[in-house]
Amino acid sequence: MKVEMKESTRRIIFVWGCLSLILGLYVLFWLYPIIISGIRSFSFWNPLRPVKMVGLLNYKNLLKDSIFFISLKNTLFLALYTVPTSIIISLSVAIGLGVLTRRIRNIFTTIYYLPVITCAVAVAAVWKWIFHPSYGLLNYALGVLGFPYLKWLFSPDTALPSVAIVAVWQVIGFNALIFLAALLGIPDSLYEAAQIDGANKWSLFKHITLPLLNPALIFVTIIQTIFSFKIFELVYLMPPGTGAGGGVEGGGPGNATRTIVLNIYQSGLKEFRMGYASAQAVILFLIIIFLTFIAWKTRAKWEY
Amino acid sequence: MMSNKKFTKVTSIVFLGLGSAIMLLPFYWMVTTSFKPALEAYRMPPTWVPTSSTLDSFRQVFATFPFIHLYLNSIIVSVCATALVVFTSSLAGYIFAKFSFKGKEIIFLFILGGMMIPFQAIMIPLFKIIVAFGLINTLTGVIVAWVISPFGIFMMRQFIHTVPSALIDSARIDGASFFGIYIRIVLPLAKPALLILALFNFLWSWNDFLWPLIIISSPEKSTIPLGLAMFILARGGGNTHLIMAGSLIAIFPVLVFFLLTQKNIVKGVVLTGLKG
Repeated sequence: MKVEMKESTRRIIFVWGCLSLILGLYVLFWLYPIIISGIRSFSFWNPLRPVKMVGLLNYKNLLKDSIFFISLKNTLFLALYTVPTSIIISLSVAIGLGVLTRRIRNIFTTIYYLPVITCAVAVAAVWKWIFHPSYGLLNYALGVLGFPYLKWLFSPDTALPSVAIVAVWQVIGFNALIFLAALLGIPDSLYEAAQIDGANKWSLFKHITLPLLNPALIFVTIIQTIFSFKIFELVYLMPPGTGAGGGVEGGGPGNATRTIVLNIYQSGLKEFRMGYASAQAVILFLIIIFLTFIAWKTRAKWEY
Repeated sequence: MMSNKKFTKVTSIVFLGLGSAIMLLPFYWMVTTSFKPALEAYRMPPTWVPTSSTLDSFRQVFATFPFIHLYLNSIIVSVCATALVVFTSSLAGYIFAKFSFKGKEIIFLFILGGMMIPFQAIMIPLFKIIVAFGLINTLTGVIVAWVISPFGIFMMRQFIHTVPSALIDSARIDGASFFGIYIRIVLPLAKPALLILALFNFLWSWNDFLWPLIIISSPEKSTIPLGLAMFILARGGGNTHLIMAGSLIAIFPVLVFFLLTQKNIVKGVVLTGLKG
């Protein structure tokens, strides 16, 4: 009886000892910051002056801030450009990978995964070079094919789509691997049974592959949307005028590639309008929560 | 039927081959541009193979920027952050998978909620915390914010569930301490998952740019991505061959690392992707 008591006490001491360490770190580096972001979004917060609560003023100012709305629009468009495109491409890649033998498949997955593990700063640098209006590879290719040159990152009309191209290129390998795992998890017997019943390839895809791929599709859609919301290096480093002599930190030309994240960084950590930046951070957080929630809620509707 | 299967295979190899060309082209272009002399880099039409290869760009990059130093900083940051994340995640995973205690489900959900918090929404308060600790412009300041990962905890709990409880119970009867069981039984059995978590975390912390950008202000304390960005931003037009050489120097170790560990990473995406 005495020994048993001791055992349970030891268990409790061990559990709560470890938990207090982990919870302490979690609260300090995750929970406390998000709460502070929330609270301080209702204040003027500047490192040099005491914090002053101002109610909804930051949010009211955001509603009048045309640059904020441009950044919101750009962020949403970036998601709109990258999510469907990357899903279609990576699903096609995964289907292609699925029919190959393991050795050839491994070679291809390695190649497609290379951009995922490459530092985004270097990615931004090399694509900026490829997009160069006069010396870039892309315009050279357009010229050879007889198309007119595009200004890519230098024109407000094509800058955001250019960033989207790079963002898609970066993530295809990751999404394709998730789809591949889901595809390989579908039992062959299902296809065989359907084939005996006389189903053609398209109806196999529509009635077996797609429904069983649903969890992976939802997962990739959520991850991909959140990823596109968090793009930073590309819009910070690729736009023209960034760097030596330019004096600009991304987002250009004009505000064509300005996103919420870039805005938060600049108003919070460059101009030190930290309360204003926190209000934008809260909006980013709410959008991400909302999208995740919607994706989970609509899951039932996609299922057959 | 046989020829039909073969046709499908050939079609997908052709399709994936064309796609691979697009995937690889930017890397190829980075390599060739960095070996070209300045004049040739800006020649139109561009040359696919440098007609006059030179190592000048690399010499100039190494002479003007402390890349060796940046590697060291990145190694310190990534190794420390990864070791700490693997430790906290596996310890928490052990607790949540193998102990029952009051409020367990709620506490676990509470930590899981952290996965929904985007770093960009908390970076300003985090910056203030680092300032308050006096760790601004230090590598420690970069590392400490990365010691806990809700995703890592989730992943390790899922995996440690599969470690047989009977093993743990019998070790306990043999007199092992709970921490001893963690070290001698849980960690060795969770090795595949630990390895994957470590690999991902290492790559992620190596490549992250925004957090070091906020915390570090001097070039000699930069990590590779931040240093590379500083290097690029300090160079105006006409220096693309240098920028490409710098980029190549920056990504080369990770490319080699990836090719060596590629099998585990592919397995890891499959494992974490499905369970996430």
